[in-house]
Parts: sequence; C-alpha cells; structure tokens
Amino acid sequence: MDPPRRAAGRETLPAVRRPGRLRRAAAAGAVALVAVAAGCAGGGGDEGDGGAAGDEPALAGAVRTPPLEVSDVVLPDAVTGEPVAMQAPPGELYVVYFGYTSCPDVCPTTMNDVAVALGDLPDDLADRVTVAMATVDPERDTAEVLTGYLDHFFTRHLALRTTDPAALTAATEAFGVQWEVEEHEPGEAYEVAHTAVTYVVDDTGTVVVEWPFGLDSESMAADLRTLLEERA
Amino acid sequence: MRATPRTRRPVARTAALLAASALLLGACGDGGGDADATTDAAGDVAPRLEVTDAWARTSPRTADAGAVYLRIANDGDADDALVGVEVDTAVAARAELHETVAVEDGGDGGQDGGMDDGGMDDGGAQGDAGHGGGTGGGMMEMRPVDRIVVPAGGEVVLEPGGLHVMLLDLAAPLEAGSSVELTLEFEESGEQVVTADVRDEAP
Repeated sequence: MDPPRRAAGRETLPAVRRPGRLRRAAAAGAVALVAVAAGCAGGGGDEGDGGAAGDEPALAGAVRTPPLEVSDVVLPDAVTGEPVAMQAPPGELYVVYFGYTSCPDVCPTTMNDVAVALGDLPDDLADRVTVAMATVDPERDTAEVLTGYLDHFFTRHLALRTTDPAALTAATEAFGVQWEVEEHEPGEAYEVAHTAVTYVVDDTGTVVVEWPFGLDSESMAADLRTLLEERA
Repeated sequence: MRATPRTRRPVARTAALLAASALLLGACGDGGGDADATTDAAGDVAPRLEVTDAWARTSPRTADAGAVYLRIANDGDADDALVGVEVDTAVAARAELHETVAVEDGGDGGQDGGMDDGGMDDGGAQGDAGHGGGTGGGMMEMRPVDRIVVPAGGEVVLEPGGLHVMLLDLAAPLEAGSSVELTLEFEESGEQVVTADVRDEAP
C-alpha cells in the first residue's frame, strides 16, 4: 500500500543532501509567482471598472475582463442526478469550488474560510448563498462522501459530481480550472492536483468575483456582503 | 497578466539567493559571536528544538485525510531536520510530511528542477486557465517531503497551504476538542512526541 515514491524518499535522508531547503526555495518562488499573478488579476479588474462600472465597490477577489459567463455549465447533482446549471436563483449567489474530499490541506482550508465568511454575515444575507462543490475525484467522492463532507461546513450546499470525464472537462474549462489525477493502482491512495480558486456566480451565470487560495475569510465576507447588497 | 512560465533558472536563482542568505546569516552569527565576546560556548554545537502551536484541522465525517500543522523553533546553534512522522493507527493508517505547492499553468513541470520526485504525471492537465485576468487558474498539488530543515537560530512553520503533516486513511473523524498525538523524528534531536489540538482553525 505504501507508494513506492515514499520508499524512495526514505533513502534520501543522508545529511549531506539538503533537498528540504531547495524545496522551500522552490515553494517560495511559487508563492511569489502566485502573488504576482494575483496582483495582475487585480489590475485587470481595475481596468474593467474604469471602462464600464467605475463606481462599483472594490472587491478583494479578482474580476475578469470581460466577466466569465458560466450559465451554460451544467453538472449533475451528486445525490439526485438532476442537472444543475451554474446560475444562482434570482437574487442569490453560488460559491463554486472544484476540489476533492481526500485533499487534507487546500480544500478544507478554503471550505473552512468560506464557512467562516458565511458565519460572519447576517442570516438574511448568508441565506442567499449556496456553496457548490464539484468533485474532481468522482472515483472516491461518491454522493454520500461528498454530501457528508459539505454537511461539515455548510447548511446550504450543492454536491456536484459527474463520472463523465468529458462533462467534467467541459465544466472545468469553462471556469479555467485545471485538474490532474495522480496515476495510481486501484485502491492505492492518490492525490489530485487542482486549481484552488473559489468562484462566486450570480443569478445571471456570471462569475462576479474569484478568490485565490489563501484569501482571508474577512475579505470573502466583505465581497459577499457587497455583492449581495448590490442585488438586494 | 499571467506569471511567466517557470523555468529552472528562477528556482536555481532563488536557491542560490537562499544559499547566499544562509551564508550571510552564518556570517552574522559569527560576527555577533565576536561582538559578544563568545558568550556561547564554542564547543557546544547542537540544535535545540521547541515544537509549538500544533493543531489538526477538524475533518468532515466522510473525509479520509487530515492535516496537522505546527511550528518548530530551533534556538540551538546547529541545524536539524524533520525527517519523519508517525501516528498511532487508532488515528490514521499513516502520517506523511507533505508540501502544497503551486503548479504553473499547463503543469509544465518546470518547478521539478532539483527535486527528486515528480509526483504527478503532467500528461493529463485539463483546461485552459487564466484567460482574461482572473486569479490565474494555476493548480496546487501536494508533494511528499523527505526532509524539512530547521535551521539553527530559525524556525519552520507547517501551515495551511504549505508544509503539513498529512494523515492518511483516518480511523475516525477528527473532532474539535479532541487531540492527536504525533511522533516527530528529527535527524539530530531524535524523536519528539507532540500533541495537536483538533480545531476548526489555526490557534
């Protein structure tokens, strides 16, 4: 059951090598790049505001120019199988995330931050938000697993799951999400690399803001409040 | 609008910079020693570790994985390294040291430079991320880590979105208010048992 790479890793322990330090350096570089990317994204949003909607309140997350339209994206409800379009009910918002439940770090961190953000909002606002999580790991994330996962964080949620790779690819491409399942033997533990961005979709099927991984819950709450009050 | 594709060069440069800073730090340390007229005993070179703020995130009922975060400070005068972690099978089948890292668009594997395991197959990347601004769309992935250096006089923080202890195949959900015992294995200091409080958020 132990992945072979772990056994290989164990052999690299001699004190002469410093892979850990190099890894940290690479990670620092990656974080810097992410920061740069986020900065650029913010700039894009500003340009858009200048052209079309200059007096809209600033959002902590990023807004694309032109805005991303995802109302054509449809994924099955994991429990009922009913198609769910990425378009919130009138006056409401969907918070959309592509992830998987065997993800120990990134997904629960984001889900918890979103839950805290929703908890910070008055009930009448929070009740207009539904968190939709689409699994990028339908092999392990059955309807029961995915629903149990979301129950932990949210009262209003949608569990989305398709076993059709083409349908999942179409949905993720529409959002600009990437995902990649680690090769594995049946029954072996594996990881899924995936875009860790959270998307807020309004009742027209427009992505009105997207939150990079690590955005604090206060900023999420502020964005949701702004977006919900605009739609009151 | 997007981060430029990662090549090996920036990594190497960062690593070089880091190495240079390490040298500088070393120099500073020596300089400090001179200024203080060798208050530290010269022969006594050893790491002195303190692990604090250990916590595990509550896990949903149906989740099979968990994460533990902690802070390791080393106020000794020699480096040490975290090289392994064990957990009781009553908690999880096993524990591993992992790091979450950002992958460049298209998963070109550029940041694999200098690392000894690729982890993921880059062949199956889906989607075309980052068009027209937005958050960039880059993937995040986890990599197993063999060795986490805790530099002399420094500290390492295992925190969400970065280094963490992954608990695989949880025996039961991690519930708020409970705790998890881990045995950390250090290269120089040996084993150290830490208790991680289970909670929804970082302390």
